[in-house]
Amino acid sequence: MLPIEWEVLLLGCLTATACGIVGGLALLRKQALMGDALGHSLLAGIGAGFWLLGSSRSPWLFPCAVASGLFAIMLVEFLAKQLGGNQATALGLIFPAFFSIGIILISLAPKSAHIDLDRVVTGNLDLAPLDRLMVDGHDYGPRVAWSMALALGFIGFYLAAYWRHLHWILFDPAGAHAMGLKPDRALSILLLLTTCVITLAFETMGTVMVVSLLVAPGATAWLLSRNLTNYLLFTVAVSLGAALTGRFATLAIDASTTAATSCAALALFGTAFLLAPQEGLLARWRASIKIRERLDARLILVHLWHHEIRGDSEIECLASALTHHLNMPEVRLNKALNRLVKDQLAEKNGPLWQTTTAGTLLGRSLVEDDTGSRED
Amino acid sequence: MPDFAVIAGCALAGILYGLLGSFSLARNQALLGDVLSHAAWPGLVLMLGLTGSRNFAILGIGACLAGMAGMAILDLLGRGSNRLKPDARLALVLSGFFAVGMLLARPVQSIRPGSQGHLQAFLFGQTAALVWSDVMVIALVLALSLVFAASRWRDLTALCFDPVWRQTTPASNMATSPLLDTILVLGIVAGLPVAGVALVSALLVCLPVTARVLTKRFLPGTGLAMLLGGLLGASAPWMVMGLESLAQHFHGDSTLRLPTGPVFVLAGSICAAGALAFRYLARSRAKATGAINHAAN
Repeated sequence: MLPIEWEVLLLGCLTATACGIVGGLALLRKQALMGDALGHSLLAGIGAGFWLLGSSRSPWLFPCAVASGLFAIMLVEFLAKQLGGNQATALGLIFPAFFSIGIILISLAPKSAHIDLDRVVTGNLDLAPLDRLMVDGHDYGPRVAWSMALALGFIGFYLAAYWRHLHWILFDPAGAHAMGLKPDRALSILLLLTTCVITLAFETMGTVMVVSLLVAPGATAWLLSRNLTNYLLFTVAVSLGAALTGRFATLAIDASTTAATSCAALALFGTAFLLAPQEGLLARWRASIKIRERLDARLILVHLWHHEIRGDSEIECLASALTHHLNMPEVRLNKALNRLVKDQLAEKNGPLWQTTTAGTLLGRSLVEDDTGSRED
Repeated sequence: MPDFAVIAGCALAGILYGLLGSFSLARNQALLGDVLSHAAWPGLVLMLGLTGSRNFAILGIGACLAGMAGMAILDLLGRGSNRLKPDARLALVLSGFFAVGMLLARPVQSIRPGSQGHLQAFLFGQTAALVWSDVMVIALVLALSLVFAASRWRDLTALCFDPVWRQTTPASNMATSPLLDTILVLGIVAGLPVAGVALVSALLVCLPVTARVLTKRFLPGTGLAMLLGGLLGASAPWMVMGLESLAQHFHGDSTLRLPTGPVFVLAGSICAAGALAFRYLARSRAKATGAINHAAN
């Protein structure tokens, strides 16, 4: 058998991957907050299970939790219709109510069935391997790891079965319906799988931090790719990266592995948000600067051309007066002029700026023919 | 009998959330409060680690700063790629800040021994931990919000119901929206000892939803939400006591402690559910009679 440190790592990887895939699919359907709602709602089922079964270790707690999660989602759908399609309000109303019922039931349960209320919100990945799967007195490793592996198997089977039509089902359920597929059934199965995964992850990740494992890998992958296959591959890679980083970070500092894994997933997202090649904040910023520079250069070119035609270029095109006439800061102006010189559209002639032949043509086409503005 | 400070604190928090919730519900920001309360968590933990203080007025400063940081990051995420939808942004900020707080929790507990129970009280709220200075913080924020709401009522109404039209009028004030957000953060932080990080924001939803179902007008609706919040808040400590003694009667365990937050929220949710069910029944009856009239004609 593996030493317990490796079991924690394995469990982290399995949980992160399963959460990453189901959360990523929910993200594509713009239901990122569904995971948050499910994670909170299933507590009502667990609380009710405590009272009915009188134990916190019964295997029947799992179906209780899944049922209460699904019931909460059904109520949200119903209520959202009643509130005129306002899903955020419906979510904000239903899931705290279920969560409150769960906390009240758990707090008031007999001490024999007691679990730490703190663990409900925070989860504990480090202690999860203590719950062993024992068959005939033989130790087969952590119970949650086996259930999570089973859930991953189901997810893999689901993806394989629906792969050909997954685009339609996720992005255009109405279109899928028109094609003769059964998107409602496929999405219901996906919801059931999601609920099962969140219920299993509840013990290791808690109700709040499971949300970052559900959303962050998908959000990271969505910034890096727009192809469904690559998207899922990136999602799995980010999930595994988060689990590994989180585990090894806690070897260095004394902190909860659950929190570290969750923070690692978000750190990966943050990196992608800033540095992604096309969708990153820096790339977008750089692209917008480029557009502004190009606009500045064209504005100056039109100014020069216009006054050369009017014949007052001795006053208007003086190098020292340009910043005043165009109402443009010196730095921006010089950058744009450099660009014009580099593109051989304008040149400095003594104290005056002049358009070159190519610059005259472009200046005229920009003013007289608006198709000209589209050619580079 | 519950302590008078506890009753006063819960009632004032209820009134405060009735007021602030009416604005955030009308702005369709029902989940923003949830994000902000979770965002306040790392500030609370860090402040406890830095100062070692048990005074909520000091810890609250850290929580407010963290809440503001959460708001700023939410705004930054909105400026980035438009592939990130609003629901994903909310979920990322909510879980991200909470995870950072939890990452800090264990180191903080090791340098400040005995702080674990104190931090836990802020997760679900605990009336046993509520003292007069906490009540004073809530009262102060409530007074501030009331003055703000009363002095800018028309502008706030416009901001909630028609922000586009509002921008075209010269009377609109640039500062109103950021001030409202700031007061929302202050209000959420002030209520943390009552309802806790996990549930404080639920009060921002269930109270105004009940009021909105019962009346269509904004000013009476806000008043109703505040009244309901005050009444439920004042009775929440009694309900906690009743449920505790009921459970003790059931299995004879006298050490049970029930957090206030869930009881308060559940009472509010039952009110909202009652109001919604009433409206649903009234509507379906009206529809049924309408159909009969239509058939008769």
